[in-house]
Amino acid sequence: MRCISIASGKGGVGKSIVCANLAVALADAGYSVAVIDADIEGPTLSLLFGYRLEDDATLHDYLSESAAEDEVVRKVSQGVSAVFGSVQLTALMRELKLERLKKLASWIKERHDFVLIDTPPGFDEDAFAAIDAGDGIIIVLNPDILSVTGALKVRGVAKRLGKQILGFVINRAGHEYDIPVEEMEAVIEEEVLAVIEDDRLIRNSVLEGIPLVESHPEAPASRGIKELSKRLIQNKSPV
Amino acid sequence: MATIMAVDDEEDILTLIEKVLTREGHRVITARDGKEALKKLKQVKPDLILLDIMMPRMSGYQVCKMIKQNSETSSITVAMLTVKSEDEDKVRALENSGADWYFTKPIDIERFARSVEWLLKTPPPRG
Repeated sequence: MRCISIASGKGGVGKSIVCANLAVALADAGYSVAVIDADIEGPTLSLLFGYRLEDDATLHDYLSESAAEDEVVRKVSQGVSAVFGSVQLTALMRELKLERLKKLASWIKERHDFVLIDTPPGFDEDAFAAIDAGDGIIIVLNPDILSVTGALKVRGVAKRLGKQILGFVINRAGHEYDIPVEEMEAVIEEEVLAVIEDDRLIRNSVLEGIPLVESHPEAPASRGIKELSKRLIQNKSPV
Repeated sequence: MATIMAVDDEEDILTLIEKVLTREGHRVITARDGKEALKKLKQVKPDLILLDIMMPRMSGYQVCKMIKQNSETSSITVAMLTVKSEDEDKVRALENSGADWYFTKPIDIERFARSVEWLLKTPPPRG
């Protein structure tokens, strides 16, 4: 029972893609996993799982108290359940009670081995609520300076909220002028959990709505995700 | 061979940096505070500046900002080299002051030499 927020500080680092693929990798290893798309203003997990939202109840319905926990959790693939966010603009105009996110995460945690919360970028109240809903945090960053500072800031937020820092993941690695992993580790003063290579297959997987780990388990990026999954499984901390 | 400017008010640190980087084949210029560094930058344009934060007269943050705001010096790679190790310090240097990289003292000499080579051979991380 581990409830982990996937955060970044800076947007566009590939956090949701890491979240969706990590869920599949953990499920492949035999764990029951739930993902919560807590990127209230820009949810993408339904797209990444190829799930077509019609009249399904979403996180927005739960936060506006018009749906219960068991109505918003749905099975999306073998071993993976999800709470998706509404992609309707009108959903944002409803009064959302962000404090309910923590309650939902606790309810789901009781029923799954892992809960992964995809958090919004930035440092507004949506992001704080999403980080606060988890027990621990994984910080995703790209090998560039702007995402390093974003990652340092989000670590500060997580520490203030009393969350366990489970580690950092470097996503979209493998380019000529990347900051080397050794340098990144020196600045964040923490070992990097996994390095996920940039992979053009990721784009196809998004278009197909099938996480890369499922469609191309041997692709370089999938191997990075599996390494992250392995590290989390090995981590015996209570989070 | 690259030209590297080290700015620090601690003589021991300057001596150490000079020794390590001269051994690596570089030319090292030293300055004991920000004002001296800014004055020397009018005569010489180093490839890399290693800048302490806590110095008399001007902080490293201020010096870095001035270097990055001046079109004559803005393209020089600046790396902070400091005992300040809090995330807030790093964000302040990298985001607010425009530094390109950040080293925390004490340094491991071998690792530091490798890091300097990385900074010299790539465009400034900030791009």
